[in-house]
Amino acid sequence: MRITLLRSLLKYIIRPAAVPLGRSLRSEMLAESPIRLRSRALISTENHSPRLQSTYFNSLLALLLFAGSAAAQTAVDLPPANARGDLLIRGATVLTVTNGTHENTDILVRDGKIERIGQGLSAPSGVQVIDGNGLHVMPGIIDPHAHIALSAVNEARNTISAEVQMGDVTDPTQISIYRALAGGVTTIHTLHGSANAIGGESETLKLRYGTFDPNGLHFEGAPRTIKFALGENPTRVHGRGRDIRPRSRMGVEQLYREAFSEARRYRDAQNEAAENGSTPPPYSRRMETLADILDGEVLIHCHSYRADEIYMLMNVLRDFGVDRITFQHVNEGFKVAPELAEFGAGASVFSDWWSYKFEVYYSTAYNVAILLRNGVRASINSDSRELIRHLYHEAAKSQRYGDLTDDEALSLITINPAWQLGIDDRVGSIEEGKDADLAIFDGHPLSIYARPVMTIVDGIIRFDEARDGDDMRLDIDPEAEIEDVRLYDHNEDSCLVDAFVL
Amino acid sequence: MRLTTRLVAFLLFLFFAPLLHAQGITEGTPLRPVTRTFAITNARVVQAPGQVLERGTVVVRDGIIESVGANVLAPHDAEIIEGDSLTVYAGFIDAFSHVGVTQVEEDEEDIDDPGNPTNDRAGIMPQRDVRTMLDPSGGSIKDLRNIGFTVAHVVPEGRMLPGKGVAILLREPQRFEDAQGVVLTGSLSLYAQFERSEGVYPGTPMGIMAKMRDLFIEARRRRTSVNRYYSDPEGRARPAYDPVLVALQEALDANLPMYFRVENTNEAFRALNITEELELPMVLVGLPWSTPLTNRLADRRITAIAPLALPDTVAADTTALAIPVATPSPGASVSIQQRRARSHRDLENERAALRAQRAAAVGRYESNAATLQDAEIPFAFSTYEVKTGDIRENLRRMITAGLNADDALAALTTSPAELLGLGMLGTVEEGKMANLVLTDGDYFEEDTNVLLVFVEGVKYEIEEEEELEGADPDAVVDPAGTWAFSVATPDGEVEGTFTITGSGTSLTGTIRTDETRDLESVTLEGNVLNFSFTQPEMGSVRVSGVIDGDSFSGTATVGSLGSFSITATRRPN
Repeated sequence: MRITLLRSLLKYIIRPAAVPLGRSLRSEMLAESPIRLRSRALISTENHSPRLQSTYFNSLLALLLFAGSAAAQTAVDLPPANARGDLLIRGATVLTVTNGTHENTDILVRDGKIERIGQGLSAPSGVQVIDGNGLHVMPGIIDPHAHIALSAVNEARNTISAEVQMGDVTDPTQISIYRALAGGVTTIHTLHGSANAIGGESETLKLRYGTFDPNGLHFEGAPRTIKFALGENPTRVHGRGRDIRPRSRMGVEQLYREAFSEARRYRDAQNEAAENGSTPPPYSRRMETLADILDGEVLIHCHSYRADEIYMLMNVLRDFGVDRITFQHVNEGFKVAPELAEFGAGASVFSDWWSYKFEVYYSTAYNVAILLRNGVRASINSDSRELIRHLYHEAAKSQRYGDLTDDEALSLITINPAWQLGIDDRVGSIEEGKDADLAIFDGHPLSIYARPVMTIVDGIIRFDEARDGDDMRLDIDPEAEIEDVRLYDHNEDSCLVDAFVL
Repeated sequence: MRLTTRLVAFLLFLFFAPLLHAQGITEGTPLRPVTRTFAITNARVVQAPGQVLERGTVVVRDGIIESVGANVLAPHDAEIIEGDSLTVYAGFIDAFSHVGVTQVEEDEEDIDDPGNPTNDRAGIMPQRDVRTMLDPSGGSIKDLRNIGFTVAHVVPEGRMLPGKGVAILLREPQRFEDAQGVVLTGSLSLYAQFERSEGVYPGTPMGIMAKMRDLFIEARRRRTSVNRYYSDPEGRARPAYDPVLVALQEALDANLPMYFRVENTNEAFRALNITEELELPMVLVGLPWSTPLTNRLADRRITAIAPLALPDTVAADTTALAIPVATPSPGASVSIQQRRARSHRDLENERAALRAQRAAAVGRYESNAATLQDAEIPFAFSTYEVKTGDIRENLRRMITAGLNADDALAALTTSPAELLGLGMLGTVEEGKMANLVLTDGDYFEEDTNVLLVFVEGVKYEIEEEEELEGADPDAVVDPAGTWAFSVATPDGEVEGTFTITGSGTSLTGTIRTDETRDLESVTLEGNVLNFSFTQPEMGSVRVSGVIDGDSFSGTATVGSLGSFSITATRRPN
């Protein structure tokens, strides 16, 4: 009886892998992404206790009863944000990024952490087993620049808004989070927009989709970071928009110098008042945060394009003794690559996206390779709810242009952004003791034919292509006939959301 | 002032009408009643939720419940209300509302430096006291009272920090009484919400969060600085006086709870986070679906004020689904496994699946109160942004979705009384304020009518809304123009003119008898024109009538004096 059930189940769920449209496949592509029939039943439970067997049997029955639905998931079925999972991935190709690639290797996950990597590992009682045969496992992808999972992006009435915090406006219900998960992303750095020379504090999030509690997504212990923005966006919003400084790139530099000087005076005055009991200046979270930057407690992530202004900001920071910065977008970074390396700055680029406005007219697809070869810790960012779904393509394109090794290409979307965010001790590579944030592909993730099939955060499967539901929205508006859910926001630069609502 | 003979007659009538009618027990009047003692005899008395006196008498004297019991005798001076077929409840309390509060025009002028607006322009007005903003003469108080509400906790309208709230009695001001005569308490609450002020800082919820931090941290620090300065000013600068910070300090000193109004779970978590961080006592107002937060609310022992507003029901079209939905009823959530559609191949199925999701979401909102009840989170109800006419129906939907009738009653009576610290309200017990609702059956049944409401011992008869003859909600008429009217009073006709201008939803007007007055809340529903105005001697007058070509006929309701028929004809242009 049980065998019959299993067979009919498999008959239903086995389907051919996608075949590229009408093309003859080259042999290396075939080797990389073999056409094969693969059971979509990746999960089994290796356990011989009668109770668990019967649970498994019942769940199979449930699957069959809802044939045609194949146990599709709903967002509200996903485990809570504080859940930490146990898993054994067996016999997969493991791309550790920091420690080579290992064929036919097992990963044991206990309580959300990678406990062991090796061969012939056995699953402790009750631990879910994922058959990794034919699958590639890479560290969960990290996007160092996103504006998703937010209910506001720009607090654009001041040129400096260091007091606002994206952690205050995390929206864990946005469908973009699930879509990013479906592209293998497990961690994002979600930033204030680029309307202001100094925006707000950013938030590093783990994509624990399924919770309504914003705090559930916050990456515990991640360092504080803050958004800076150079060039046309602040001069456009404030200079041209309201006819105030900064009207030019020079004005942006002066804003920084004055803000840092004022913050230094503010902190001195507060300390002095605390010492001698005099009346302190009014509390200002804006000044507090700026002073914390000067004290090295907040990492800067700066929206930037042109080499001259990138160089300018490094000089400003040097004058004020600040040494941790990552330049975001940094399309002319290749022109100042040795200077960035000398400063110790990070760089987070687009693989081949430019010419969308004048200051970013000039760039090159070799940008990231040049940065890496000059010793700059570089990453790739999305800045887009669409691009975030295929950052592995972006890494592959950089490899194609710049002749990077597999590990170099993968490091652009894993360990390097982790370093830039100060979380490389927790995520960014597959190592024992690190968080079990993993992206599983049905081929090599740098192959154009590979698709993410499962994404794991803290050992919890948060995306499973085989169980991907029709409607994965968490929050459903009872008043809306059809909700306006769009992948692209046409005519809208996500960096400038709310910036012109003046 | 020159008065016509007829107007003098009308005013005389108005003055003497209470006396003329005082003997008539049917006309309860707050003016000079013969007796302020009532005995409701042989009624079913719901003394408190779950505590019912099946047959008893309630004696009310001078606004207080003098006695309640099975063997209580009606005093000789009491007006007897035979309660054989009646049920008596404690008067309901609206835990959060703008009823009777004047809407203040918000300042939305452009300013030179939108990053640094004044506190007023930014909507930061914790020093504002709702008591200075009351206008209890409008019709909304009467509408709420007609379904059993006797007291409301009211707050000012506004933006981020609109001001402080008090409890008021839901009655019109009596003759020669100031608007503040209805106030029952001092400040009970500090109102907060994530409502940005157009065009200035803070313009986003994150800006509002940051601003709240600055304000409350500085309010606490400033208190220390001020104390230090006044004990020893030498070598210290005098901390500047700032009305906003002083108001916040006073709120902190009084441990005034922050009534944080939110619209969704995201805002609710944000409100919980900021009040926890700033160590502010909080009441969560308006959350339509609480399931994801029940643990947080329970941990901090936060009271919730659930909205009486509900989304419209959605009929899930189950017939379009290939696999029928097993539990399509409101209040039950539907598993997606039962309605999986292959969208690109089957639009009908997809549409049905989306509708089923929507119906399930409506069901979640309907079961909000039941969720709070099951999680043992204390909760009360708010009439904020609900149509008064929907309230009883919405309560029934909540009960269908799992709310116990006793808990529903508690959320209307004892819970808000406790939350607001109004110990004299909420139950039908000796010594409590005589706020009572008399019905002809179970309040939560559809057929039950509210017949009488007592507000602090003053009796209000609830007339059934009379259907105006010829009223047609679908008719299209233009009310604009000047109309010559005539009101039939027992002492003769009173005449004058009223003028309606505008169209659609933006109607205004004036009325002229002895002098010209502005009309309030002019509305047109089909061919029914409604407006009201206030005359100092009479209080609020409500007019409602049907327009048929150039003629108008309906009723004019003058305070508690009763209704008179009114007719009017439109003057040719």
